[in-house]
Amino acid sequence: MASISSRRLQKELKEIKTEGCPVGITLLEAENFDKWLFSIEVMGESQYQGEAYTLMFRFPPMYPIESPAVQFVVDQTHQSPVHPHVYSNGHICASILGTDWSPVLSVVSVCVTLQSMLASCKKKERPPDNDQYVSRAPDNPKKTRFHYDDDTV
Amino acid sequence: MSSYNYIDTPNSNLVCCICHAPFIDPTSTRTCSHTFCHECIDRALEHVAQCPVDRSPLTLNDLIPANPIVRHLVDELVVKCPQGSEGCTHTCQRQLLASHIKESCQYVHVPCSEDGCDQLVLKKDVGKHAHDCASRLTECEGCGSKVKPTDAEAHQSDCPAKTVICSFCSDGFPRSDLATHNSTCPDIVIPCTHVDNGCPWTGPRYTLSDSHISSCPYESIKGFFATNSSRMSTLTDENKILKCKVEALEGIIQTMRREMQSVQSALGPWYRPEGSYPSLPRQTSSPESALQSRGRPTSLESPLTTTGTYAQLGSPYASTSTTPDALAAYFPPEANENLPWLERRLNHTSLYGGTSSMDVNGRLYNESTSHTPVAPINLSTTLEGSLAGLRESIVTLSASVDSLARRHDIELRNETLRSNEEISRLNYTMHGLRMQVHNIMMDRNAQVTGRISDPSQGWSEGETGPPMQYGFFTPRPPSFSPATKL
Repeated sequence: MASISSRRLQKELKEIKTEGCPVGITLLEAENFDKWLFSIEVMGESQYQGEAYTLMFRFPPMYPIESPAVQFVVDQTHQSPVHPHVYSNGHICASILGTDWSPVLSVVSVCVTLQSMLASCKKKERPPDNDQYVSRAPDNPKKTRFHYDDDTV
Repeated sequence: MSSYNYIDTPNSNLVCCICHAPFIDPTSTRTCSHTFCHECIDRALEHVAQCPVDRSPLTLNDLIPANPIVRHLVDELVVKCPQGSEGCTHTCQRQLLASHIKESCQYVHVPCSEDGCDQLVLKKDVGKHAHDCASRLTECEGCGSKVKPTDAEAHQSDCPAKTVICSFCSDGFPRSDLATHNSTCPDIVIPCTHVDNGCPWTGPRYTLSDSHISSCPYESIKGFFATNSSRMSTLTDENKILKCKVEALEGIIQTMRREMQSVQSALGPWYRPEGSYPSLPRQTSSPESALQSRGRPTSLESPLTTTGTYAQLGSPYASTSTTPDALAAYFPPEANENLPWLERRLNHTSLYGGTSSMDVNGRLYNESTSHTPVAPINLSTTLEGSLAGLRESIVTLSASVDSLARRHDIELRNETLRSNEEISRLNYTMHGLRMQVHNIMMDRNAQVTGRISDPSQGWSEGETGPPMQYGFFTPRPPSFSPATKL
């Protein structure tokens, strides 16, 4: 039933095109219904002032019933933000991307949540198990069973 | 899951938060009063048993149809006909769309009603299509039969009701009568009645009866043609019958051939094609010479030469089952190398039954143990011959077993005889010795009693002495006659 995912994504795309994205979030690429790219910038005073990161969304066939695979793009031109919940390969440990996902959430809402996650960060540091995780991480962050401990961010 | 094209943007309260489209079959949760499309919430609950909005626990049992007001609102949303791509501009309330498509929409595809044509046409074009439909049948005015438009022209040329004109007599009549007219039209060009027999003439019918027949050469010999043709037909019939018979016979031959092949393979090495049997060796009649010849080297050439009596399968010789030469088959071919040596050996010993025997390598055993060689199944003779050979081997073996038993008996008897003799000899010796000892004892006793004439001892003269002394030496008369030699 790839059609429910494409129907829903079509609607979302239409909404983005008509209503626009929130401040700091920009749609970079949405050519197909498999992968979308957004640019995230944290507004106002924060640790990440002036830095822009690229966020990649990959949609499973059962979207929105299943959560999308979301990660920061990391390559020659892009880095991942230094954040206690963001690994150096771009994988994000966020509950809304895993167990707390709901079909009511949308691409834009995920972007906003991540934006606020970055904004509320007190100290720029990597996760404690960053190196171990990165050396063994799968390509798709959804394959990782994240453990959601931190309620403060 | 259907998607509608809504004319106006629907109120956001009527939009399902899962699919972002207006509710289709709105369903609400009893516990937290959230509304979704029935299908959307079904699928979401399959994945996680939580309400998508507030993550409160939720199951299928907690779903109830939404408030009728919501339902009405959603059903009354105005949508465009989905056949807009075909050209339909109709818009109506969502609840009325189904009946529009089913009944009133002119832009749906329907299959053509004609049997042969399976094209899909828009409903509005059905009338036009029926007119040109390639499969539509029209009625011919003259004959009333239904024809396809594509065949209409072709039908014109052979419609039975159309009037045609005979090319010869210029008469007009409907085409259905053409056949009858042709058989009676006097002007029509026909061949001579004897065209089958070879008459080349053709001409109008009236000329045939008037002038040609009287002068046709084939007419006069038509009697001959008749008899000839009848003879030919009988011959053809016979031919057919014979052909069938031949086929049947060929089938029989095939089956028989197959049977023969299977029989051949069953017989295996005993099947010889005619004439391939080895030549007859010399025939000896007396059994004694036969037994002697058993050891003859000449008959040891090979088992093959011993099969003379069974030259052909089913030949008259086959009735004689045991001939002397068959016995020679007992000797295996390996004995060939030892031929001269065998000759010498055999001349020294008597040959009968199994008393002397040769093992496979031809070494003669002169010991008491002997074994009769068992010849291998002679594959070079007929089946009966081989069986007879086997039987002979068995007979010989039983004979040798008998003689073995007898020999054994004799040996045993001999042994026991000797042992008995030994024992009896020993017995004599022993008795002799006993007698001597006894005599010595008597002498000594006499001496002793002579010296000590003490009546206190209780011995009286003549008494032989304390019995204890010669308890072992109770005189016993020997059981054998002293004449027995020791």
